[in-house]
Amino acid sequence: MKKMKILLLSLGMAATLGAHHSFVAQYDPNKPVTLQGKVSKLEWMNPHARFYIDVKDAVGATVNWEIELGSPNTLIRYAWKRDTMKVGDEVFVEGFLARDGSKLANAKTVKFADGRVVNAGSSSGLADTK
Amino acid sequence: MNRQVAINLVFCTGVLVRVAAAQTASGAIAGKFYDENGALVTGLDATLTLTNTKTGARATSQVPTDGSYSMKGLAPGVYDLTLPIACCMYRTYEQKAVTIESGKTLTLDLHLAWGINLGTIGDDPGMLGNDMRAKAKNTAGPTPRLSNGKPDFSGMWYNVPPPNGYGRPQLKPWAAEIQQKLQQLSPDQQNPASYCLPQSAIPTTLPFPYKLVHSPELIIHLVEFMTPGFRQIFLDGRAHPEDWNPAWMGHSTGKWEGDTLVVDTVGFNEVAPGFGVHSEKLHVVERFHRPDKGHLEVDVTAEDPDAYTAPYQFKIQAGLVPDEEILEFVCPENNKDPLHFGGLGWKGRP
Repeated sequence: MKKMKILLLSLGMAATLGAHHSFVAQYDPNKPVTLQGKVSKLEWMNPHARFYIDVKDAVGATVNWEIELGSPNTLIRYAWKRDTMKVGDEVFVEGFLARDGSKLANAKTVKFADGRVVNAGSSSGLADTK
Repeated sequence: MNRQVAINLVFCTGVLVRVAAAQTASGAIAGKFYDENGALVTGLDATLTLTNTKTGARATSQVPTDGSYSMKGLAPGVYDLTLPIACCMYRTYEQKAVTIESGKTLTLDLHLAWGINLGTIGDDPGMLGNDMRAKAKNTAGPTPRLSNGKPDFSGMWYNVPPPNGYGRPQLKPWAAEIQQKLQQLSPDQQNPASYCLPQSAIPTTLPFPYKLVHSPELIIHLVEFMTPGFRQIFLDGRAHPEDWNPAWMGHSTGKWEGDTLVVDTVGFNEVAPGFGVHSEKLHVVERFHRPDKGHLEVDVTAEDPDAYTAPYQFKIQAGLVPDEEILEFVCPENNKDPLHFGGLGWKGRP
């Protein structure tokens, strides 16, 4: 935790190193989450792309979750196209929950029903979507 | 056997013995980098350092981009291992007490923790820059020249991320007090960029692709992922305006000192980020130098007589990425993030 605090303090200081905003400020690295559901909507827009999935909760009710990605500009450069994910796709998402408790998570891994796995772990990861 | 041959033999034998001794005495370390998903991390632009805990001797190695590393010829002993990583996907890696044994290669895979973007797909400008620079072709050659014989800085560039950032200015008490208040906010609340406002008073500092369009009279500096996406540097001999409305990126003019272009910027507002808490007297000098076709260097000195106790200096290094292009980035298109950190709008300086 101490390390994380230092990390937070070091952001937004002098001579900028960050992107549009800090995911670690918005999402909690101590709250990993896995979600499975059907894509209900895509927002292929800047500053960050988002998609929404309908997830069945423990009692069978459908809950709509918002999932945040990086910028379409960067995703495009790693071969993620605007139609890589389609409404209706069944996806499995790994990420971290939003700190504010809303039904929101970032995506560090997206697995598609056809076996494609997209993650940002290496520069070759995103190229798997080709 | 004459005397000379005998001396040579003794000399050669001595060398052989020393080499053999060095081979048996030294150890090595090798391994691969993995992320928290278990995927191989390729394209790292980082330097691995091993520091002997007893002698303080340091061995360094720029890691290759294939996801592996290796260091040989290490004196046996206990070492602290560090791998500083600039931005953003991974955190700097540190491991204490790594034991190197004589004649052995220690295999040690390094598992890198997520950095400030928590492994988010497509959100690492540092990795994007590393990949673009690694892919760049036709970057060798002499410094291109303008029609007036001066270096031509034109091209698509991407900065090499400094592993430990660019440091920060030393602030006078009133400015330090404001800085402390800013730090009590979350990084998103304090960061104008979260609200699609400019990320830096001097866009050369940004970890994004940028394009310099250079004529003898003007440089147009285009920057992706930044609002407003451009600045102008006037080279036609004009002075800074006397009655200037303070601006996020100020007013820039340039003049030559030999092959170095000295860009002078004043007229900043008080809230432009990247240079700590400052006043409207912030004055930034960037010294642009293109030692060859593929490299750009910018030495930055910022002064503020009201807010800083000393000049704030750092160096920017960039690589040419000639096959890349700036893409349109309209930040407010769908900026929903402020809804999640309680921001109803940027509040500026506390």
